[in-house]
Amino acid sequence: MSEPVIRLKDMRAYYGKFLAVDRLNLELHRGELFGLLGPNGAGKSTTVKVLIGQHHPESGSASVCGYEVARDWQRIKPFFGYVPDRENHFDEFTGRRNLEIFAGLYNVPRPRVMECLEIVELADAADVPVRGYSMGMRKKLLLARAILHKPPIMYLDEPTANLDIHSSAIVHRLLRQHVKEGGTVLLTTHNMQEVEEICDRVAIMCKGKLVALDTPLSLRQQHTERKIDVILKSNERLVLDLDDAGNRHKLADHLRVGDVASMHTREFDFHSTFLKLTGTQFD
Amino acid sequence: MRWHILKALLLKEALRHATNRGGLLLAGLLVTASLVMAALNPAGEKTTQLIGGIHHCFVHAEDFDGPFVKHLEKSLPPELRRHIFFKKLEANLAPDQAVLYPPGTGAIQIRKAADGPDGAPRYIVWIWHPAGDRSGMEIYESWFWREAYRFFHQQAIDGLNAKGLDGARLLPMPDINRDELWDNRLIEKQLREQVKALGGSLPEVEWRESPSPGSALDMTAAIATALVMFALFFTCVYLMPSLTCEERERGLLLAQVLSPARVREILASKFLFYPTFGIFLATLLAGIHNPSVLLRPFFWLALVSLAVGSLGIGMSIASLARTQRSASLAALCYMLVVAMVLVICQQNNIVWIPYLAIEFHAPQVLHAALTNQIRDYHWFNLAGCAVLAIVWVFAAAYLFRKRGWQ
Repeated sequence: MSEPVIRLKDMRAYYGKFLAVDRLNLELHRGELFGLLGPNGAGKSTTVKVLIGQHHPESGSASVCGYEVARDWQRIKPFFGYVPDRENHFDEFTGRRNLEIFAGLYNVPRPRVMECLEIVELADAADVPVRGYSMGMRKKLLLARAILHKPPIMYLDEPTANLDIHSSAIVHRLLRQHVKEGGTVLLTTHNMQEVEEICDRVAIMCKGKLVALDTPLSLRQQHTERKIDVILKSNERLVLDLDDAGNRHKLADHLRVGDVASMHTREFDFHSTFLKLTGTQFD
Repeated sequence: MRWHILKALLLKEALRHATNRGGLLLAGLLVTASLVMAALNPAGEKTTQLIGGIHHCFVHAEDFDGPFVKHLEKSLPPELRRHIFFKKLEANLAPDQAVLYPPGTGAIQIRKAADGPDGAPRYIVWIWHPAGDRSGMEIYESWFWREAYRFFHQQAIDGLNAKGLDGARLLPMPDINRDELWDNRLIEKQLREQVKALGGSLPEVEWRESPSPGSALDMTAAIATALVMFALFFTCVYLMPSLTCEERERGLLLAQVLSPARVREILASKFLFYPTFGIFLATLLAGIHNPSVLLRPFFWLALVSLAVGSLGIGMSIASLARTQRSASLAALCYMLVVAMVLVICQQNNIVWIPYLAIEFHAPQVLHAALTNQIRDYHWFNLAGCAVLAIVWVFAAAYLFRKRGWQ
């Protein structure tokens, strides 16, 4: 496997005396879309803040593209695009003007501004002041700003919160395209469905600790109950464990005689999985 | 420093101000006020004194430790105690050499003169008043002549008593507790004649009066000075912290810092934009008042020093205040506190504290530049202003790098 693009090693971060991230070890590779999943206060945003150089870890290390974040911050800044959880635009300027200012800072050519606005489907609203934008439009403008300089890494904090289905689909498509072109994406989210749809790997965090790290499929396989709920024509309800040979035969018998009214497999339940992994509810 | 980044940041600042209608309106009002004032009272005319008033009077005495000055010091009425300052007059002054007094002040000089032909000591009492404001000295002079009479009257009685005469009976005390200046001056003169007639002697007092060069407060220039100072404070101490804190509060400062822009580049853009904007506005106001001021290097030095100092103060506020609201409030509080401290120090004759405030030096140098009455001590004020400006800028840069953008 290639050298990791992002590496967190035994990283601990505090807010005053509150331990926000506890000995986090994580490696993200090129062409990977990585989801950081967890409830509020799990340490997801703090992890991102450490990676963008906004919060200094008390111990351990955080490196991006081989550079120490704290030491070489200025050097790594052009490598990433960041979409914060809270929008931060110049409300009095148009969407186009907002991007032009950042295009100037990144020294990217002006035509790229319109290109980015078209990617996030904001070209029609390019000359409307941002104060007239909806929440979803503002979020998409953040995304346009983050991709302005074609960064190899993107950090996104709750990128699809408050977005409608269509806008979420745009974001997902854009992120998948980015990793397809060799980029790396780290996104934080509450939404397991989103993680399953687009992420290559997922880390589950709780109270600053990493409690699970795998692909969404593996997590599903590991934590989905192999049980089938069956309702017979006689209205009798059965729960059959597929790991039990007797149950498997019983199911086969019912199917053979045709007295099954309906049957369905137990789906992966993230909340119960989270409870099982951490001992706490996912709020 | 990378030019493309500076250019983008400067453009951002300019565009933000171009869309700030409140700021534009206030700048427009300042220019309008300046135009109206210039139309009503052109700077070239010397009849521009709108209101008079001498807020302080110096009793400047050569014989500083003598009994006469001691008597004057002891007999200060409470209402004048904060307005009269006693100072020693340099002994090696030429007989007609003028002493410069700050605007809005006057002086009563007590100089020694050559002894008279009969060997009696002679004094010159020289009243210095701001040009065009003779009447402003009346309250101080009235007190002076009254107390001079009291002092010399007692001396005369003692002299007559020493000769075996009944001084108190021969020289009864007239009613001198009136505030009529001419009466007090006249009876003081009559006293000498009376004493002479009785065979006694008193020191001769010669009375002179002159307008003090530079001490007249040209109120039109004073208002122009206030407008110029306000323009710089408005841009650098009010607008800059307010807009910078707004950027921080809304996460815009973070977005800029996460771009390739370095903290020092962001700082540099603000350090370039706001003083330039402030100087432009201040120059416009000063130019409307008196276009010739723009040709004086002293004016430009004063303006740059004040702009840099204001910038330092503004950026320090921006670094310490967390929100836009607290920045605006802090800027207003700062100005109020400094004004209060300066007034308290002036009222209580505390000399050294005001030297630590740019707001003490700046009006003096700007007023001197606007009226083209630049004295030696104005260069000292300018140096003080420049030193304080540098201190403020370093403090601001340190604070901003330390915590300003976060």
